[in-house]
Amino acid sequence: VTWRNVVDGQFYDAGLMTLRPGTNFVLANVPLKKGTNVITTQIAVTGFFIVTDTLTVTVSEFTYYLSEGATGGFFDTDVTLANPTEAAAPVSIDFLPEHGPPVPFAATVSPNLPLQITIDNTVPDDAVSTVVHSTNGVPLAVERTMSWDGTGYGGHGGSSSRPHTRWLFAEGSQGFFHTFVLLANDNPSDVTATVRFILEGGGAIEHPVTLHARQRVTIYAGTIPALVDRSFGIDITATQPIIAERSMYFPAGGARTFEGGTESAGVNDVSRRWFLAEGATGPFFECYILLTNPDPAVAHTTITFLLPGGETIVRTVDVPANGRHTINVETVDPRLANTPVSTTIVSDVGIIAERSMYWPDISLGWREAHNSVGVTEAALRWGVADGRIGGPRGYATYILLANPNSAPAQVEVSFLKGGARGPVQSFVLPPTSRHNIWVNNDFPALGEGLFSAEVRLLNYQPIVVEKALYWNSGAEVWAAGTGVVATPLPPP
Amino acid sequence: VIDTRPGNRGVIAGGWSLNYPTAFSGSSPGVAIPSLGPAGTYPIQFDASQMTSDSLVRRVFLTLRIQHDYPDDLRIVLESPAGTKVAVMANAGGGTPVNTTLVFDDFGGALVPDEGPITAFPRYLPGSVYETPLVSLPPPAPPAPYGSRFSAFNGQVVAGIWKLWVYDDSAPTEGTITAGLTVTTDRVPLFSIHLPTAAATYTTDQPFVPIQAEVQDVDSRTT
Repeated sequence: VTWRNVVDGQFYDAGLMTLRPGTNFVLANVPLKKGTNVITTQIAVTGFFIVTDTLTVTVSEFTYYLSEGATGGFFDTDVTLANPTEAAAPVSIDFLPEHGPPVPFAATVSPNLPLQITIDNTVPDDAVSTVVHSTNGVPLAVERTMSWDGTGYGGHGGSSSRPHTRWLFAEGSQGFFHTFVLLANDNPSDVTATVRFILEGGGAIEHPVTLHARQRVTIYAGTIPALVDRSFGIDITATQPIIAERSMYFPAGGARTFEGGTESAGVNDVSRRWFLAEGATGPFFECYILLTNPDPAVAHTTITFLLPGGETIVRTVDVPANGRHTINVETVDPRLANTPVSTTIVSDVGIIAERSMYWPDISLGWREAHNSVGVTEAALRWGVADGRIGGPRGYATYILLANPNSAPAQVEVSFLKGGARGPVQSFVLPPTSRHNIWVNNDFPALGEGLFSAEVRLLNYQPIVVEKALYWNSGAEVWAAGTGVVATPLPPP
Repeated sequence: VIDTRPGNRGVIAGGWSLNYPTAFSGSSPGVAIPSLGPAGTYPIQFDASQMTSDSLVRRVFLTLRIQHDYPDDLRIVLESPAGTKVAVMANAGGGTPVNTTLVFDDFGGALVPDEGPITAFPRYLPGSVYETPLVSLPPPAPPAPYGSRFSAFNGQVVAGIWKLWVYDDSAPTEGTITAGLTVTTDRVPLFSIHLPTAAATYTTDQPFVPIQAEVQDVDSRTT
């Protein structure tokens, strides 16, 4: 079964639809372009295209959403927009504070350039969500990076997501961790949402909330007595599409407020297949795979760890019905004790997968972490918005590539800085392999400062891309860090 | 399966299968086209008599591998078992030699051009006729008038003999033709986009749209 997209009369893109196992449904994530997209799906029987259906999709602009963000004396928030095209991208941004009306902001993202906006300058002291309208329909990569305390001893990041009426999170915990649920409503009317905390060990707590029109809402799990000292998953349903993210800070009662923290958007549905590009073990990092099964049947999963050289390590894991399972990656196999690693997960029922990394080693006391939810769709083009090198904080950026295919992936990575394509490098990712680009070291010509990057596949083997950003706080090396899934981009 | 008498036992050792054809496909060997006159086999026949009597035509595809130095000479008509006849092409392609495979169906993108060259376009429309009106092909071919779209066959019973009449109306060039016929029936799977909307139109501000389509009446031959 195939799809084909013709935009304003010109062929744009085409591809295959995949069968959802056990159903009669076929799926595809079809890239769109500004204009009238005529998407024709075709099913082939006995060698001929004999049955078709057509959907016409109209696009006038692209919109990107980030529900988390906070400014003031403790937090600092940067939103970075990358424009990996040759056309200028005018943007109309709405900041949605928790305690005030929307704050508009207009700018233009020049071709081949990142634009970084320090929200503290526009919304000086509030929790705030961000809605970016690329009004000319130029595709962007959009990321948020937060740090806290003037010394920046902690940080987390996120990439944009799309509004939906359901959001699922595999993890939440109130005790050692502080857990916050961050909701954004960009609709012109109020939305009612029900936040359902699914308790580990059984039971659920329902927390209804009203999201006023075009406003951000924060729910702190510590204010709900039944959640204190409990671990839980989170299932949010809303009457209109909203954005939901979750932040977690630790350790409670530590010497410094929020010594470390993670942040991630949720997912909208369970899936039988997940990709996690980032992962690292060894004396510094500890890496956990978190699987949540909201299904009433046991999930029989196959976990495949992808090592840098293409070697794979396969394990089967059963996740209990309505239960969770946590995998400490470095304990799975001696070959996983000290290595970069990507992970693919295949299950016979729909589950949710996340990855969390903590550092330094637990024997030294964890001081920071980052987290990403899994990706269900590999892609042929990715954008990284917020890359940083050097500076007073000694920023270090890694771009992490996972090729889950049985064929080599021909990858081209190009960097955007100063309004031009910077260094461009092509290389081959072996089948079922993982690759690290340590930008500081591998591309010294980029110099210090802000950059963006585009990752493009040249041979139609879709891959998964994440970005990790680390920085120092005073003499404390890599005191803080973020891990975010890169932004999938439609074809140029 | 019921055994009505005691005493003897058996097994259906080879298993069993149910034949539920959703389409007919047939092909011909290469047939010579003389410099003037009917093709060496006149008509080329496709025997669809094994199709069940309740299988009705939903869509027709005709594949022609044509080698001819002056395709403008060719007149080709497809006739259904019910006697409905459609002109596939006539006096098309001019004098540019052709040696390629052409696929015809009602959702083709263009007519075969009046003048050459004829290229292997993804799919052509039937009714590529450049003689008005098209005169009757010599008997025993059915006489004009001829239809111009395969949809004229829709709803007819597939079962029976389908006939392809090929005639060269001018000397001196010769050629060959190989034909394939596929007739899909109302038993083929229904296919429709369900998400993000079952409607024909949708508006979004996202760079990707997740599409979900459903194949109904799916059988084992659908992938």
